[in-house]
Amino acid sequence: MTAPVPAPSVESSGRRSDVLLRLRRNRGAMVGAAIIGLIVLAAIFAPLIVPETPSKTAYLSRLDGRCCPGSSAAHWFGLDELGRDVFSRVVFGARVSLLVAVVSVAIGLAFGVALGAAAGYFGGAVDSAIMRFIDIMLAFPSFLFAIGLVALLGPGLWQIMIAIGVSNVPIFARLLRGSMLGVRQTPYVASARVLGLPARRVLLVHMLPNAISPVIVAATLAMATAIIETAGLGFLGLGTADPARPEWGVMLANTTRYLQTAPHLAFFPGIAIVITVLGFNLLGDGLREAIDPKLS
Amino acid sequence: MALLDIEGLTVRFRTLRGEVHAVNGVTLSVDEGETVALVGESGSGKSVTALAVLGLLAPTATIAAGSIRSAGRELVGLPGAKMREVRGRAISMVFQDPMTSLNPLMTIGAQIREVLDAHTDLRGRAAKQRVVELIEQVGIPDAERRSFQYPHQFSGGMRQRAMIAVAIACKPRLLIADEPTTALDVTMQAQILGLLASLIAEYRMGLLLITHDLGVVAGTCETTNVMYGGRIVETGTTREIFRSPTHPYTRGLLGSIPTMGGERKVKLTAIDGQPPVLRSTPQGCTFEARCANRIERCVVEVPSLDPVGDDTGSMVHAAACFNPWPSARDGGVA
Amino acid sequence: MNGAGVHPFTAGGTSSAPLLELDDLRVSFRVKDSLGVLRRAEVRAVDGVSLCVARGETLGLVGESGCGKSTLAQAIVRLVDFTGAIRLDGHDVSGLRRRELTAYRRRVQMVFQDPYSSLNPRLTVGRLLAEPIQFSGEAKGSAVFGRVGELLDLVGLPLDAASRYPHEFSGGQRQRIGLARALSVAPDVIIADEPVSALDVSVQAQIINLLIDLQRRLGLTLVFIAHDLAVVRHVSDRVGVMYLGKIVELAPADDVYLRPLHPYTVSLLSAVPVPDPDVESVRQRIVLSGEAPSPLAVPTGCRFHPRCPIAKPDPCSTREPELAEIAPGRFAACHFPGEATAVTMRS
Repeated sequence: MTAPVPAPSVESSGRRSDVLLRLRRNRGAMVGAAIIGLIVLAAIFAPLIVPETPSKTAYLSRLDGRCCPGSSAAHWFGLDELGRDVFSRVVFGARVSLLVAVVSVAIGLAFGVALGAAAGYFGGAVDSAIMRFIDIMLAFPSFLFAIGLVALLGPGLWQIMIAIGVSNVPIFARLLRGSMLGVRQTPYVASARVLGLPARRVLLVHMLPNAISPVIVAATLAMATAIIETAGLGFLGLGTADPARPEWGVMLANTTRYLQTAPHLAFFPGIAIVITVLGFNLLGDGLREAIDPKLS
Repeated sequence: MALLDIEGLTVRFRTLRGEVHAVNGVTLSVDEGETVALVGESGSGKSVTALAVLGLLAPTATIAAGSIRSAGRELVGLPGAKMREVRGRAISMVFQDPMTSLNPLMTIGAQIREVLDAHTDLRGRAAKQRVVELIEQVGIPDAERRSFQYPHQFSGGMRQRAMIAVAIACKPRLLIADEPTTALDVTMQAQILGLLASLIAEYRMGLLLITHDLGVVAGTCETTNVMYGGRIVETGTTREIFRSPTHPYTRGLLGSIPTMGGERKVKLTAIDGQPPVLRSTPQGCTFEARCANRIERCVVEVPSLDPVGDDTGSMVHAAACFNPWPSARDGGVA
Repeated sequence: MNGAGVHPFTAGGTSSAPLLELDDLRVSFRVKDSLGVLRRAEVRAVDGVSLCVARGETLGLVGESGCGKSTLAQAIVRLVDFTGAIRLDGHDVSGLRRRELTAYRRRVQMVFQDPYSSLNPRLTVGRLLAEPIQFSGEAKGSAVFGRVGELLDLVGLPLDAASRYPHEFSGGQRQRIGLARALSVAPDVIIADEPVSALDVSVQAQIINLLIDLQRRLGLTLVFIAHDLAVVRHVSDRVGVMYLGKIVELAPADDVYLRPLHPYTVSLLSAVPVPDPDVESVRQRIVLSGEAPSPLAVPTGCRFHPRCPIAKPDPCSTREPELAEIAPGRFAACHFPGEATAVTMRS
């Protein structure tokens, strides 16, 4: 005979300040935030951190036809098959990954929020139509869509960003729509309607800000997914081949031949991916907990 | 020996913004066959007190002081396995919202069976029979068929009856009812209260009724404890308290309720301010900020429960106040 | 319209036209089955309600869950679709759209039940109060600020409340804010749907007093919906009792509470607990058996007859009684009005 037992509510807790408080106390979230912070800083200050430009090759390093010296004092992460400093490439790779994460999620949000808001606000036939459209989009595997796009336009960073962005649209749309449906039932929305406020205001001021939280969490986690997908697409050869913009996935693609002799070629880009993704996941989970805490 | 003896109970909660004292030095008792009310509003700590008895507090709560004894046995600090023996068997509880306190995935019959399995030797056909008996006893018609139904197939009032059936399945000595009729319509409330009264009479149970509804208290309970801000501020027989409330809070509360017979459309004598926000132990009386009888002492000292008037009855009428209204027995105006 | 062809339901039959009229109002919802498909079965939440509210009066509406009072409230403020007519000052407002609808909205406002979810948590109190003023054109620019201050003062809140957020206030205070928001467009009618039910008892009196006071000061017309009979009795001039979507009794408050005509009203009154142990120990109760049937399966004939203590097979189970004027100003929908009281006396 156990019943769910709520602790007594103290003074009505302020949402934003409480969310931040809970977030600060969540160790995982703080670690995640720190990781992301570090990576963002590394990306911004990349040219100042690295010893050499990522595209600088050194044929002299190809000694005896064998590849790839590993870590050394001069080259912390070693050199790759073209003699380029792996450390520099990994750090610059952060720029690419973060760029793709941000842009693709932004694309997803722009269209996803618009569609989800429309579906949630109007309901009825509009909602059904949008949801069917979303269902169709969801049926398309994002990888295939990316491949198709690349086949059409050739490999490149923008293609990847669009592909991943588009694959995010239905996820955000559906999430927001669900949240909007809940918000629509609230008395404060009814109050806004009864007061005769214009529809646009009801939607933008009363409904959307209160429905957006799950989407924020999803967006954070989607950044993690975007990085993995970018790496994956890069690995498949669909990414950018521009040497000035090294990408972790592309770096991994070129290492299959050398795994036995030069594991550092796969290790460092791989670890970079893992840590970055972990950072976003920790922060995203922390956000979810902070916004909607479950009682332990 | 009292069925339930709570003495000096203090419960603290760990929250986001520090520690909160939900219950502060609560003392009350329930005897066999006695119906005791614990009346209060939000922040009074009445529900927390009830949950503390059965060890159902959230993990963020600690019983910082006091004792809870059931038939002489100390319940505070009882290890889990021993506590489980008590729950459902010696002491049982009925909650406010049957929608969330009944498992939606189990049939009503199965939930009653569960309690029987845990505490009795009844099995098989005997158990099934008892289940049907119980369902009938709480006034659900067509008992056998309904024992195979799920909570969502019952209406609100029926669900509450089902929950009562689960609670009394093992004939507990003490029943704690936490706002059992608050979520129900008034006609259903009358039915459920009638049911509880007949069950208590039949099983000679003690009842601790937690509620905010003074009308329900007046019709159901012999003894009343009024709680405010984590403390008991007035206690005594229901008759005595309603007839001659001495604590300003009790008096204010009774005066502010619109009645079925008073003058209409006039201003009610409302209590200023709002129920307290629980914090770390406030200095002085918890009601002081809203009290019309406030004196200097109230701000710094915590009043203890002292008998009021000239106590002649067996039940002490006591109030925790430095400046209470005079009791009617003292010649004061009720 | 009833058989007489006119609206006799005004308070005391005054000659002044009623401010708000409901004429055979019906609201029904189609039910979705477990697959989410709309089935043909209908829930007749409001099943033909006609009544009038005079200017400046308080009409109380009581009933238990499922009686349709909240749905009726939503229909009056045009939150749900309905059939039948709603007239404000004699003008039919049922089919209004857009600008005319907005104009109607300014005159009929609503106060909601749950203070914890009736205010947008993201806006400050000041913005919450300014918003309707700005959008209705009641005031512009700096005048808005003054008006917000007036409103706060009207409901007994300090001026600095304007810069705070709803979560910083208690339930009672939030209800005041909600009330201020409804008053910001200077409405004629306020529909209060359970305005104090979610509040602590010690705070309810404050809000009740506020409502009574404001009504007097501003000349408001109030439709007060609640399930607490004592509260409704206290604030209302006339009271309507609803059961399963229909009004079964409508009369001045004293008549409803002291001389109820309909057996449901009688049982309802006898079920209300009174905070007086002496009264409680001697009163006789009519305890209704069973529960109100689901609005999906409304009984034939008089909808109350399966639970009625004085129901007779004919005509109670065959013919639905009309809401008829039994005595001047007192209406009941019963074939044997006034007889239930006799039963109580006997038992």
